[in-house]
Order: sequence, then structure tokens, then C-alpha cells
Amino acid sequence: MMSAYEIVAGLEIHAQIVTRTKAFCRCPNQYGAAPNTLVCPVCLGMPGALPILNREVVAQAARLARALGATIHNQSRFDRKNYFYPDLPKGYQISQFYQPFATGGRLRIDANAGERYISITRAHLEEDAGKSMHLPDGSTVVDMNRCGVPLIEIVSEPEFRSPDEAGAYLSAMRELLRFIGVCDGNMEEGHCAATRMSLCAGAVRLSSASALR
Amino acid sequence: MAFGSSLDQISPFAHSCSDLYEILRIAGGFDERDATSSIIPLPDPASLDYPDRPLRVGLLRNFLEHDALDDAVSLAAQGAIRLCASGQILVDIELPSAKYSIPVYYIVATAEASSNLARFDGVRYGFRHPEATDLAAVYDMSRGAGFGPEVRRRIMMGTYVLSSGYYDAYYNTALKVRHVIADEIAMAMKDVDVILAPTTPSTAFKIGEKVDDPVAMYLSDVFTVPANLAGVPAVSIPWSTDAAGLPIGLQLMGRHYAEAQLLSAGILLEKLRPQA
Repeated sequence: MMSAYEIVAGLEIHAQIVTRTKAFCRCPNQYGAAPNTLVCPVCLGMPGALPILNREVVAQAARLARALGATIHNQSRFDRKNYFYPDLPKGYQISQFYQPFATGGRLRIDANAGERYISITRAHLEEDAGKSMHLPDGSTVVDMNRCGVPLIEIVSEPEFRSPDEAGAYLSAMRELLRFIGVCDGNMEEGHCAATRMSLCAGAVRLSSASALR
Repeated sequence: MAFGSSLDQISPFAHSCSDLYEILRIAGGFDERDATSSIIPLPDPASLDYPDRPLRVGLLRNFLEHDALDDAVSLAAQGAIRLCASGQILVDIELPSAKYSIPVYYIVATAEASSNLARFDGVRYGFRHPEATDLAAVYDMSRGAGFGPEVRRRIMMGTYVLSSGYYDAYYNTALKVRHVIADEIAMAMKDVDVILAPTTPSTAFKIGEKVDDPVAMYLSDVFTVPANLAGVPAVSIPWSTDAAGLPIGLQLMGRHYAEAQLLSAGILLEKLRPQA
């Protein structure tokens, strides 16, 4: 029964990085503008347009890595995550898979059960996609303003034993990100997390992932 | 429009190597909007002068004596070698892994192309199939009807070699072999200034003549693909014509960032060329 299972969960947090311009182009990195006004050939993925990495994105990622006590790698690489969706103009997302920006580190949390340190697996850079809006008449429109906004994805080890700990971690990470000026933590404007949850009963392990905003 | 991002480049056509040098001076150099451009300074015009010592010309035997060479091309190559022999130093070189160039190229290029062409999806850029009624159909039908057969063939090959379960066997392996080919060229370049080889195995075939045999068409690239994979500069120089009047080209490959040396070797070859 359920009592035979223990929760072993981790969290992946996607945080929008505070910078003046987007990750790979000079478009302003801002929330709330009129649709499709903060765009250019690069973030629209037009043929022939190529990305230029924004130096400030790397600086912000470095600040976060230091704050977590993570190891910043001298070499890291960008990879393409290929999939088809209307709000992904290039048909791929520029992300990091094989060689992320940073690995390791930890974050102190205060949960009901007391103070703990949650280990960080990795932190990597990627770009955000646009926003689809489904209209009452059944049609769908896409706003590309958010395409190319820089994100940092922080993955924790699967060390949470309760929803309370996961919540404490989220609060602590948000506070840290805001304090060091890497993310403004506005939930209605930014991302929250995708959960990675495993249920363990002895040697048996089930895995599933779901998202919450 | 990008095809294979690690292979695509500007490839100018000109009347002479010195014209190519002018184009290099204009198009080359650092560009803050191009993350692939280099800060290494461009060569200055003085470096194009004919070298004051004999050139060390590497003769790529496995290409110059390749089975697929047409007689006319073979004769042209032998003629060039004889002319180079008086005045330059000829060094036989081998690139043992160059024979894998075509399969490596068609794995890497199609993989990259399948990704670069994903953006042509029927959502934007004009053509959306009029009979598509849901999102999946917008993608399938627009891309199916919008792309021609050769493009569809390459996208499918590229998607296959990148797919889960096949990625390591095909794409990753191709990347490793690519490095081996590049390393062999770099090793050969320690001993020579430039490498001489034919540009294509035959003179131009007629439009549509090989359209039913794509592999035969792909094999025409056999001599030009190694430089592309290794990222070294190369130049094709029109040398002579065959009995039907079709042009025969010879190529020189050079070291990374040694375009000036390569083009000055090209100017030498142009001077040796039989007058029409």
C-alpha cells in the first residue's frame, strides 16, 4: 500500500535570467510588451540568422553557480533540443545537454523536519520559447516576445522526502535568485518547476515527471 | 539558409586566385555578429607573392590514382604533377581515412540539415497545406508537399541518424571519424605547404543524368569533402578541358588560416597551366 512507498523527489527549476537583452540577440528581455514587438530575425529563427551568446547571461549564470557552491566548467557546450511546436520558431531549443555550465553545489533549506542541505546535480543555460494563446473561437495565436529569453535550469538531486521539503527548497531558491539579482522570481511572469518524482519501495523504482507553474 | 552548419561556408567563384584573395579581404575577418568568425587578422597583400623557395606539394596518391577517375581527369592530373616536378618539391602523402569521407559527410550533413530545416513547418513562411485540419497535419502535409524529393531524402536520413538508439552508432561515430580525417590532414600538412588532388572524378554530367541514382551523384563529392570535413581552406583551379570541351579542375588544400599561402600556390599553378 502507499505506506510501503517513500517519496524520493527532485526538482528542476527554470528561472528567467535578468539581463538587458535576450540570450542570443539584442532584443530587450522584458515582460509585458505588445505581442511580437520584442523580436528580430535571430529570435524569430529566420533563415540565415545566427545566435550570438550574450555575455551577461554567462556572468549571471556564474553568479548563481558561485552562490550554490557549484563547479563552473571551463568548457561547456550548447546542444539543440529538436521538436516541433508553433511557439518554437527554429524547430529546436538551444540548450545544454552533454556539457552543462556548472555541476554540483547545494542549497540550505529550512523544512518542518529541520535544516537540511539539498544537493544540486547541475545548472545549465537555455533559451525560452514563445507563448501560445488559445482563443475562444478555437484558433491559436503565438507571441514570440519570450523566444530567446535566457533561462537557467537548476536540477536538484532526488533528495526530497516530502512535499514540504520541496516547497522549502523552492522558496529558498527563489530567495537566493532574487537576492543575487539573477532572477526576479515573479511567478506570474516567470517559470516554476518541473518535478521529477520517484516512488521507492525497496529496490523498485517508478519514475514520472509533471510540471507545475 | 543553413544546410549543414559545421560545413556551410561562403564559396566564391572568380576568374583567378588573386581575385579570390580580394574577396577574402572583403568578406573575411572578425564580425561581432558572427560567432563563428575569427579574430585572427587577415593576410596582407605582400604575403601573396610567389614564395622564394620551392613549394612542397603533397601528392594525394589515393585521389590522384583513384579508380573512379575519368581518363581525361587522370591525364590532366598527371600533366600537372609533371609540371610541378620541375621547380617544386613533390611529396607523396596518404590520407588513409579519406575513404570514409563520403559516409561521414552524409551522416553529419544530413543530421545538421534535418535540424536546420525544421523551421520550415507550415506555421510560417507562406506555404501551409490547404487541406491540413490539425497541427500534426499542418506539419506533415506542408512539409511533405513543400519540400522536393532530394530535400525530403536528406531530412529523413538526418533524422534517422540522430534518433534515439541510432545516435551513437551513426552520428557520434561519424563525428569521431571526422576528427580522424582532420587529424590525418593536419599531420600531412606538417610536411607540405599544399596538397594537390583532382577536384571531381569526372567532368560535368548532364542535368538530370544522375537524378535516379543519388548515391552516384553523392560520389562526385569524394575529393572535395575531406577539406570540408577538416575545415581547411581549399581552392579549385580550372586546368584544362576534355575532348568535349568540358572543364577539368584541380584542387589545392592548405593549412588552417593559411589562405594566403594556398592562393599563392594557386597563382603558381595558374602560371604552369597549359595555354589553351
